[in-house]
Amino acid sequence: MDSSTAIFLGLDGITNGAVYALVALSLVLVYTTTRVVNVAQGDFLTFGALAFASLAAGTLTPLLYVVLGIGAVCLVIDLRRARAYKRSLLAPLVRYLAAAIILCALVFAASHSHSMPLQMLAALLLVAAMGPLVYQLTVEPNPGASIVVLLTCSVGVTLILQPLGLLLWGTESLTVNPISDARVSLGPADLAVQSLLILSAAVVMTLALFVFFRHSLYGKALRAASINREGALYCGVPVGTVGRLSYFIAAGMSALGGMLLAPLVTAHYEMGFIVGIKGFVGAVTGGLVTYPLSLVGVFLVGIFESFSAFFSSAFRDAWVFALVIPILLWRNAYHGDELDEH
Amino acid sequence: MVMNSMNTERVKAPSARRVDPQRLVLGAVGALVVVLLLAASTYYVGLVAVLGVHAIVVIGLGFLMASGQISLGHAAFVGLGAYGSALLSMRLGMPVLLAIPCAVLLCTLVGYVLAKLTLQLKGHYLPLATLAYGMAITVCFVAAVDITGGASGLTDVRPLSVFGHAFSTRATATVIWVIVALLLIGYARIYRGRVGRVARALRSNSVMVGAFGVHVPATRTRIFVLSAALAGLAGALYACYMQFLSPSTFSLIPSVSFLIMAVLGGVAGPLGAVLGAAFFMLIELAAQHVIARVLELPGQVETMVFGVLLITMLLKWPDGLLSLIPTQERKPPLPDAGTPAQAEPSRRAPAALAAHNVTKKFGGLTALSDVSVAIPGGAITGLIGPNGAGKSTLFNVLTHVFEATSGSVTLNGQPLPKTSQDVVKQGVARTFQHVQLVQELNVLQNVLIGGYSRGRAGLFSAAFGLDRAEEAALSDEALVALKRVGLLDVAYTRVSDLPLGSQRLIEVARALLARPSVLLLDEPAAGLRAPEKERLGRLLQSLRDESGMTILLVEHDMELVMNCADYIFVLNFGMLLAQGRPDEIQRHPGVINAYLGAET
Repeated sequence: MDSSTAIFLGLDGITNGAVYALVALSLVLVYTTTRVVNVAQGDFLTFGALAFASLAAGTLTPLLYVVLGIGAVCLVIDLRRARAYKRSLLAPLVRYLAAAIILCALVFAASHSHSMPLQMLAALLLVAAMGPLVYQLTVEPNPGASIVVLLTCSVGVTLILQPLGLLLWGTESLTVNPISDARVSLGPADLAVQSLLILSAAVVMTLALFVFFRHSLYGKALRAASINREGALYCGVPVGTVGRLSYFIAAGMSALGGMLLAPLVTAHYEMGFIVGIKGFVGAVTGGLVTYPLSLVGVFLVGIFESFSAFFSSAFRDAWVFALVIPILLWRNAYHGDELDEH
Repeated sequence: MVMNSMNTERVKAPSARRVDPQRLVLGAVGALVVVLLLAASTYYVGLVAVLGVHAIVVIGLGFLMASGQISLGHAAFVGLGAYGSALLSMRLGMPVLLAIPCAVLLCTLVGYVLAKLTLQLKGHYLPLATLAYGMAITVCFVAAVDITGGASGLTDVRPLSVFGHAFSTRATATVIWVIVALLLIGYARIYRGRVGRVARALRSNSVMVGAFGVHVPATRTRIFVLSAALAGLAGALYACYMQFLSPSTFSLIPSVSFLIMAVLGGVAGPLGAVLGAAFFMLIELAAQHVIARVLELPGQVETMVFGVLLITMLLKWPDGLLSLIPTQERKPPLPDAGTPAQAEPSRRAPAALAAHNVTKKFGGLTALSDVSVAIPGGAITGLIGPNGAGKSTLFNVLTHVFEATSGSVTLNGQPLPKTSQDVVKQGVARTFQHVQLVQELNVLQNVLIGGYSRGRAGLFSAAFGLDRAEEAALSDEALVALKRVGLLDVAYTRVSDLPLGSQRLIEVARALLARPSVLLLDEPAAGLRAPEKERLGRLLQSLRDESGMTILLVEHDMELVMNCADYIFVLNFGMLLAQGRPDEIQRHPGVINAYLGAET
């Protein structure tokens, strides 16, 4: 292997890694605030890409009806709860209606215009809106459940979402236009601008999340909510809202990843699964708890993947997964004591 | 007083036995399987065979989960067993009956290596590691095309056969279910037995079980390896039945399915595994039948319905189906007179425990600085001090839960063993400030954990019922210990149903079961009502006078300490403030100052 091959493989690895990054960040966000290892995170990536493809093709995305339907169910649940606690019924009603109207208007406008930012925004919000709905239906009823039960619940969610994608969009792949199809040359290899966009999105989100959780009081409150739920509640942290919010951001972030990735690989209903798994492996590098290390982790996964593909392509994924164990052992040796056993 | 309590015990003795509902369910499942095996068409017999295979995996996985570990890669072990036995018999011409144990051995070895490598991982790292190696192994099944046939699968796997006579599907399914039945019996015994009790404490109370002589990593490893071996066995049987192997059968999705079966069924006993596996299959079949054939909806809806059902079940019954079926545990009649001499060993030689110049630092915080205490044998010694004085730290150093930063601890002049599980074998037993009981076990089972270091029965001797004599002797002693603390009449109650005061007394009874010569009690009276405190005081005195025990009492309740203790040490700010007889301590100006903040 000469140096230009190495550089090529390295760049390839980094762009691959950036694709996994947004899912990895979403996984860390959800885990650190709700203790849910969200197996369904990759599905939001799929949905983001497919919804964007639908809107770009000028059709009203079928996902809108699903979101509205689930939203209606959640509204009923919230209304019943408001009545049980003798709170105003108007507040949730207004909130849900406003959200529904904004979503409908955005999606309608996006499907009738050719503005790509508008289409991306509409698809992003549409998929992000699924996050809190999923949280409300699967986590909120039993927030104190053990990690296994929460994880198994999220398996249930993916069992629902993956076939749903298939039902809504069918099996064929949809092509999606990139934001820019320019390429820049970097030494021996040249890179698509789209890849650079993914890369910068990953870096920006990592920084934003890191700063928010490390340095803002609200971020600390969010972390507290997952470490000691009741304690956080007594301190006035609205734990339920926290969960919904982090699901919202995580779903949106994954959807963004899907929209940016789709032009490079075409959008289809299964695209999220393998990206989700690889993102997961990357997030594990940071023990599923730190953002910067997760970013390092996904780059590591990407580079490792492209090099092992060069040497033995069949066993590529085996190498990637086997890599996790030494990483975990290393994390455990240095940071294991910070983990509390649940 | 003693007579009175005896009378109430007699009344509480279990009356006429009713049939245990769990046994009824077990019987019904068994009967259904037998009928299907005898009379059903080959299609259904095939389903029953697969169900049996699943049940074997989930029995092992369930016990693993009951011990607080999760595996997201168990299908990989099933795959190793399946490919291992198939390839050994096809490529090397090994007889199938020999290939199966070889494949199980392979899984045992791989499981052992992986356990050694990963079981030290804490928190959620362990499930992540299991996920990773599960995926890696599965990818190898696909990638090693030359050996395994790759993604298109391995055909013409040899069926189960004896002396060249191949088994039919029906016969194979019968063999599988005979194994399931044997496993159910074996695991029911394991759950009840010495290691099973402790396994259930590993999840939340690993420090406590360590202090009663359990080598935690070794026990975890054993449970994991056993579950890997069972998964391998299930895989080998599956290969014989299907005679075709596809790598997707052993990927992440089936691994998760096994987990789902275990969670759906519940992990409080082996029956949960069979229920979970059966229920999983029922939902799957029902979804297929109703949605695809009757409603003629596309196949994806079936998976979605399955997802919805799964979530609903988990939200409604997080402890699984097993928690819906009440069980009646076997209750041997409570002993009548229960003379302490019956099970209580004779007076032991008094043992003296001493700390020499112990310093303990946590990072920058010095919790103990240069503390020396000599706890005399055969006496009750009190250790008091305001909150944060370092009492509990000293206590943990004395039992080697913590290692001292400098200084040493000796028992009768000999250095104390390095680890807490060896300390208890030297006759030093303790209770915990924050009650460390296994909430889902009953009182008797919790007390029996105290006898762990004195027993020998392991997983296998429990499974084959070889631990009966040992268990019976320990049970008798545990009942006597419960009688001593006045809790005999709740011996079969779940711990979680008792008030805190009783839970503290259970801790004392559990420590007694280790037959200690030195008994260390960490705030035993907190949460006790006045009559219970009196009883505790009398108990401590009788332990000293009749059994010759050395007792160290860390306590805030001054009345109890001053009435019971022969000698008192006072700690303040991590240093020894005073020592002496109770009346001396009561007059000691430094102590009064520390407690009341008077001017010096």
